[in-house]
Amino acid sequence: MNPITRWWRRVRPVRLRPVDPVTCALRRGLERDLNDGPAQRVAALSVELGLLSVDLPDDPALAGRIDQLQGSLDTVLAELREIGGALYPPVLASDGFEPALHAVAERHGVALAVSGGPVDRDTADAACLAVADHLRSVPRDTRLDVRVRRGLGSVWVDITEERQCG
Amino acid sequence: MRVAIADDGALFREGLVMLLRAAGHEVVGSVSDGDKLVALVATDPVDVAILDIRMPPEPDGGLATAERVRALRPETGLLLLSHYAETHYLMRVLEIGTEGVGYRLKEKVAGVQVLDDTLTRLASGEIVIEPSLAKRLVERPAGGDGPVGALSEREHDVLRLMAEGRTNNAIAKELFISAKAVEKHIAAIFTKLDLPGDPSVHHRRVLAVLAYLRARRIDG
Repeated sequence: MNPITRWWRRVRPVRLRPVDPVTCALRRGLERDLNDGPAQRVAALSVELGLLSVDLPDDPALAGRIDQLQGSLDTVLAELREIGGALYPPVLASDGFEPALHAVAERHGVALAVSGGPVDRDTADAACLAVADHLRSVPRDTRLDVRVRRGLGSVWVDITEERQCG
Repeated sequence: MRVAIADDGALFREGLVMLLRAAGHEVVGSVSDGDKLVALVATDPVDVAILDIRMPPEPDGGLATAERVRALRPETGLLLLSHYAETHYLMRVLEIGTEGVGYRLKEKVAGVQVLDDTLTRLASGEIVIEPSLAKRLVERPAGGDGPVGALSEREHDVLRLMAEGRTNNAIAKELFISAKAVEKHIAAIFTKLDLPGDPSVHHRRVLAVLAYLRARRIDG
């Protein structure tokens, strides 16, 4: 990598879109609804199809069509998963700020280092969603360095980025 | 095989019960949360317990419950199911134990054959990992450089199957090559990636491969 390009990339300012508490709660709720509703129903449908293929007469053509249908349901679930993960990373609810950001980065093929972290749950949610939204917008193979500093009643998130420039 | 299931989604759970019965397994219990599952396996041991990761007690009751089941009945195989394939959850599953543990997407166990295969592997102490997650972990970086990029096509296939937790024999069968050839490929992969540990010990080898792949994805 050209050192000058690298330097230029490093100082490029990143503007995060803040996520307010109401939006955080809404996004969290939507992800949960998606998981408990449609995703669960589609997974159950796939199980139904699996059962159907047990009861069917031994017919390779029919078995093949059931396989195809199950494949289509897999695609629907993958798409729902994509939407759910973008709304609210599942790891954020269970494990908090840093593991959630690493999970989002890993999914998108982005390298990430995190230092510091918010203390309370609401700030962690807001900061994580803002950074996660940004992570999804950068090209694969970007390296990001996220630093969280706590101020009086506020949290500062600094991000530096390095891109692989050919 | 004797199986118990815990999932708070009744629709999926009941479907899975029927599928397990159709596959000839005995479903000892079907419950809606982790505490009930622990009570169940305490009185009535099972070969494999199937747990939804996201169920009560919140927020990740499946993982906490799996830990309790492992402590109570170490010989019980554990299959963790989720709507998400996350390496973070995979690592947490492997912290619970490195033998007879599995992590799969719910919709991917929706057939008698795959369910049977998964349970058999778990009962014999293998690690079972969602193939789509293994595939994502072994993806080559865009530039194609780095140690994983230096693997041959065949070695890359072997690495992916190792990351699924497959044994040498299963890898040989899948790739239509001899077990001897698989051993040679594995030795070459361990050298090229500079992996620690003994590749002939199944669970150590899976852990070494996964730790390496995950670090590569996260730290770049």
